[in-house]
Amino acid sequence: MGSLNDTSTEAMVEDWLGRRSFLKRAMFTASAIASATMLPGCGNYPDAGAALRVLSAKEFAILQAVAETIIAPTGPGEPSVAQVRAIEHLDQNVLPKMPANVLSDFKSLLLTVEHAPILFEGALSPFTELSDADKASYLDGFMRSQYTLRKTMFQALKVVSVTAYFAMPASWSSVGYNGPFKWQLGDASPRPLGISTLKGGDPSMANPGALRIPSGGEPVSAAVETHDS
Amino acid sequence: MILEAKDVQGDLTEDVDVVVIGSGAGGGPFAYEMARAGKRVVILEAGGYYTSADFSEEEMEMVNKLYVDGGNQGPADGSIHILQGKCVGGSSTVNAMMCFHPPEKILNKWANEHGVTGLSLQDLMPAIEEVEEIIHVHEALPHEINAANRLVMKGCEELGWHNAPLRRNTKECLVSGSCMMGCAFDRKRSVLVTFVPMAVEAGARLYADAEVQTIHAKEGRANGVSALVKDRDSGEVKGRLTVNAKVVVVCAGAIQTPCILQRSGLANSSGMVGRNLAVHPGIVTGGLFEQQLNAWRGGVCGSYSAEFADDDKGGYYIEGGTMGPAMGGQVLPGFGEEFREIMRQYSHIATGNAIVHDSCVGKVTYNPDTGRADIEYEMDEDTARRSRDSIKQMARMWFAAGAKRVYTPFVDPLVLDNVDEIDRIDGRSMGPNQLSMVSYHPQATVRMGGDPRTSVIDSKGECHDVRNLFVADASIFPTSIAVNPQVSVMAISMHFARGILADQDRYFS
Repeated sequence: MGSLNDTSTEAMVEDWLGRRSFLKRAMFTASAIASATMLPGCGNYPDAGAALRVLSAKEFAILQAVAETIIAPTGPGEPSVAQVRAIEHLDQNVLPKMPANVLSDFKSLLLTVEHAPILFEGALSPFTELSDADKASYLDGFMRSQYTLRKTMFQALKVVSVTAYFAMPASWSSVGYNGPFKWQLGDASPRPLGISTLKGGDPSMANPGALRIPSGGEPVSAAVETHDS
Repeated sequence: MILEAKDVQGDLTEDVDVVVIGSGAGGGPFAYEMARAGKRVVILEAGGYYTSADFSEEEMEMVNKLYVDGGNQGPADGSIHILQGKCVGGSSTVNAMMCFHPPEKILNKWANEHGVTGLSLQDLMPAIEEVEEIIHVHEALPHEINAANRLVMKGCEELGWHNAPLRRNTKECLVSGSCMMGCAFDRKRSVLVTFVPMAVEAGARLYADAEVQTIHAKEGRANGVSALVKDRDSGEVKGRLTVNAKVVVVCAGAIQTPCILQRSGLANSSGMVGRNLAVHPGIVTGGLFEQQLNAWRGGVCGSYSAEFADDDKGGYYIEGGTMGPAMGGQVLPGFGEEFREIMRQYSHIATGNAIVHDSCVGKVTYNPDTGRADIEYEMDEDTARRSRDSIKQMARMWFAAGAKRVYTPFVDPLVLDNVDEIDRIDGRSMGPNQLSMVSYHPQATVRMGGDPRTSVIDSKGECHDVRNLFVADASIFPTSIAVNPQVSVMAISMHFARGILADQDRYFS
């Protein structure tokens, strides 16, 4: 694959995007590239196969492709990112709780990764349509770049991919991890010690739940509340 | 009583003696001191109330639930993750339980260079001793030092370096290895299971899910706060909470405390609020061993070396610690088949990190457009030099312990196969995002000092500019404290509270 992966391109992009606000400007870059080019496959992304809460089908496809490239499950007993449903789990359970601006930055990052091959590799295909070898080469350019911007982007993608994949129990046996302690012990898990009290003696007295309003208790709503010393 | 958003329906007002913002290492002891002295106390905690029943030990779920921004807090350039707890108990609920006294050298520096008075090690010792008794600090027992931590000690021993078991705040530890996901068995004696319930039992009321918006002051004296109680999942405002108080104490941590002060427009005649951020960069390395270690099991951190603690010897502590693959895999190098090959051997890998005593060069600014903290941090030359040295020394340590291979934290992978390759580290840039870094100890953003022109609070914790407004968390440190800070924060907070109680006419009349 012909490559524009040279220092002049990187320097230009680095200078334009700026390190501290790169993701804000990256959004414009990605949008500009996507709209200005006639890249094949720009509008065709597969159905995620699950109802998505936060990611679009396009974003899902990009992140899944990134994670598969980073995690590279190739040996026996190593399920793929798709098989462990890591990105679905991320979309359903983690991304909805991200602060809005962090989520917005993350989505911009995905768009940039998808459409920047033309900038950095001279490739006319978006990331998701590159061959596996070219995907790896493309991300390798990010990882080894002397420029902070691309390294920053790589690190963000790696952290999300690793966390999402290895959070899934189906991935654990592939790395010899036997799971959380409670998971292993199940019903045989020891009882919690409890909370300390002022009543002297052994602090293993009280149930932490005792500090809450009892279940079914009245909600608190009052103009003025005072409480005694 | 502890109230959560689900318990609130409509606006509320409280009239109390003391309102404490934050329920972590600063807020818990402060509230406890005040409540047991008979003061009417309300604690406001922005995070949720989670107990051991809620701690599943699953990495992604717990980080998402218990940490600020789901573990994503940090500068916009992503160069370092700044991990803090956002839950009742604060960071003490999710830390690795390392307990150090404040170094006497550091306290002396604060006195000599920053005009801090009455905070010598001797002055603090009564509070330190009571804190350590309450949170059950003890030297790690043999079974609490797992295989990875024993390798740290072995490597140090081979090299003739200082090494010792860590002091940890745990009781009857089950060595589950899930310390940083919240202890599902209450063996970690964090503020969540000690100071908070003790304060509540003494009459304090705690509102979880309560985000303080503004601190109020009139004629130069703080007199209360306004907060919003928000549903944890939807963010819906359940009620506005107004707390009228004679004394206001901010213990929201070194990122949120300056934001609250900035938002309130208070206490910043010096211009120091939010400035001087130090973070103790955590530099992680790993060793690959012949034997199976399962290093994620056992006390996450059980041993340490102070061989390089002094600034003229290096300026960092080395501590053992390995987590499960979702968190631990992030710091191992490469991607694709190279990374996969490393992860296949995860059960044979031990990791540890250096806590670097850094310079106060960062900044925290409240951003009214996003409603969040903008964080700026970049290592200066001294910190970069110390960090580089720590990587080299940790590599020596792992090889001395018998490692076949050492993994360094550089994003562009640098894997060492023998001790002769260590000097390759010298050729690597330490610039932003050139290596993986994590911080567990943001500090110093609302510094204490004798001069109101260069500090925000005085040696009793009171803001120079605003009477009856106190700060009692890691943001008060004039410099990086160089060690894991939880005991120092708890003790100083308790000490400040006792100072207020010793002068009640001044503060409560």
